[in-house]
Amino acid sequence: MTGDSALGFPERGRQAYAAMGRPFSVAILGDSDLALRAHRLLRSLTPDPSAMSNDSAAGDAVHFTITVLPGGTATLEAEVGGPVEFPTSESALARLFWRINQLVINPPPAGHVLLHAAAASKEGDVVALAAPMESGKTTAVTALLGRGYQYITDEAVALNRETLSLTWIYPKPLGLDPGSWPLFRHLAPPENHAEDHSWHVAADEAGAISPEPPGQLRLVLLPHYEAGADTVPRPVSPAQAVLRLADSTFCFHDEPAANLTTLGRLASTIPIFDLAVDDLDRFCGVVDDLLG
Amino acid sequence: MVTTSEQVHAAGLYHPRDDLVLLPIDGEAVVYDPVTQQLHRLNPQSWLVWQLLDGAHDLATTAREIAEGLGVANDTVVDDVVVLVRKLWSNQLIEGSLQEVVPEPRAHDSDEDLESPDEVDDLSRHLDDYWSWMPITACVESVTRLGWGATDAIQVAGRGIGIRANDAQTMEQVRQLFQQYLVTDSEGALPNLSIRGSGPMEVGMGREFARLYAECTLVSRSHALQDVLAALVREVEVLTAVRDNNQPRLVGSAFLVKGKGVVLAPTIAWKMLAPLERRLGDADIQLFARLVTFKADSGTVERPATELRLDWEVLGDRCVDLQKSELQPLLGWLFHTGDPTGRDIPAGAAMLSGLTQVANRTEIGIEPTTAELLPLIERVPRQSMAVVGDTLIDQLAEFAL
Repeated sequence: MTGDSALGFPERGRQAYAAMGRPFSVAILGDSDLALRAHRLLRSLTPDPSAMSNDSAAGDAVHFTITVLPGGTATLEAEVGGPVEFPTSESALARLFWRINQLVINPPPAGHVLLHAAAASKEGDVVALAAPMESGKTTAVTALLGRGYQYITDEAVALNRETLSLTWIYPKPLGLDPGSWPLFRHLAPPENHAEDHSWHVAADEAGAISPEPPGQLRLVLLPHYEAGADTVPRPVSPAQAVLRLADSTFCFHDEPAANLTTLGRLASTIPIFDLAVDDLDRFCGVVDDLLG
Repeated sequence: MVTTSEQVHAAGLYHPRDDLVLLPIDGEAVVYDPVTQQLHRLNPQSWLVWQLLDGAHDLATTAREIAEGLGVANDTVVDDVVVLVRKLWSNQLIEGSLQEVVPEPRAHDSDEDLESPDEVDDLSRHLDDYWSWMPITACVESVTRLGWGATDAIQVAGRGIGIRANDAQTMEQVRQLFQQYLVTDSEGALPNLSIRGSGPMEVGMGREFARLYAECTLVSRSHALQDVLAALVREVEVLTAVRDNNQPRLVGSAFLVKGKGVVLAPTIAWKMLAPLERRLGDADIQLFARLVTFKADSGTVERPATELRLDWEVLGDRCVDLQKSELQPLLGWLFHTGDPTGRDIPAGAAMLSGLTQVANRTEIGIEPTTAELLPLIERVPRQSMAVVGDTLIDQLAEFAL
């Protein structure tokens, strides 16, 4: 960490946030444009001034600092280890988002099952899209936002073990892969953005943000992109659903019995469908229909 | 635990392991194995049998109860139950009183060797899972020049593979297994696999491809067609892993069945099999290989000791007979990073590549080329088995038999 209370913390421009109850702060030094962009991307997360205070809650906060160096390289520094250098400020920013994500998912919040899933809500009904990486979660949820759904997350859904409800939203920036840029031209990056990097979009620029806590989970889809697929939902048995959801549960093996029990309850009470997706409009229509 | 499928017998007593996490749900069940950290789904039929595995009633009795309950022929149910329990057994989900189970030798040429379509389907599903992420891009090869009982060609991950079988019946099993990968329009010939589904059942690699493995042709031999089909799947996996430079991107070890387990350094496992075949006659031989499928693995291929450990961990639940308890001390030694005097000794390629000879003719052991390792060797129980050289055929054959 580059600054704490003993060093005159907070530095100018440091902003404090919380994601799923985990406080952290971010400062971008040496590049005011990058600082503006970073905080714009993070602004949908919960502001949490306590992360920079001296009270007890601040003790758990992680403080990130990106320093852009002359020549265009940048370092990312957090509490653990020294600064790590990156060839570009863009790659340092991507790493920052990754670190924030790690902060959220590992370990999962106590008393919750943490699904690797995107989620959105409409009129208080929540749909979760549980799938492994590169399955099109972000693309799918971005399409839903374009249809008036409210954004909850494109990454992680914390499910309360007792109530099977979502405790938090996690409106992180959406990382759009190059393949999806033509689908969302209004969110696509400037032309000089390298095509081998995801383009991060501020959550509130992609759509409305869900209130916290979000509504009740009504539907779980297990989407996966498949060229030429008919985009028709197919029911899976509860046991099959448990297996699929277990694959998409962060740190499943840390508490396998408790996680299995929760996933079993979820599979017994919430409709769960496998959905091979090719057409995004049809996908959104399927979600509309299933939520009724 | 010994996992030879033939040790599941209608007269055996079996019960689920008591450390498993079980989730019954909607007429099915999900089983979590804390040892392998794997999840298994029991469909309604499997779940029914599972609940009747109480360790007090043999499978024949269990099957009779099910047959009476369903009003179907007892013989059919017995076969189905044995097949199912073999799967549970091979996944190490159940335990049994093996002393009371005497495996019956199987007749090589009888129709009984043909496994049920369900098992073929199961393997086929495994194959689907394995390749679900791989693009199938082009048809490449033909096996028209191959004449053996029947030939066919499949295309996986852009690679054409010829498969020949010694008779039409075996070929039909193969076709079911690879049905979605079959191709009809193919020319030329290169890598090919052969499978003998009757008589001494085995899988071999064709001559062209065998060159990559120092003329080794025998891959697997077993008295159960199911095992040989599984070996065929593995070999197709191996073929698909060979890249443009004709170097297999895989790590492998060999394990001999027949009550003895032998682990070979991956880099020489292939070379060892052909001479072993000649020496061991009709003994079962199983070669297991693991593909390097993740970026994180790619750096380990050049480090045999690491390969060995990864093989061991990954293949632990797939090998027919590991004798794990005996090999563990040796593996512990292989990955030891400090000798008794406290000096650091690097674990990795330097250690394994230096171990090339047998220390004792009747006890397969290891002999380092550097004297400083001798104190460590003394700590290795002599009953442990490790073969890390290419001059051990006689000793290995004698040991295995």
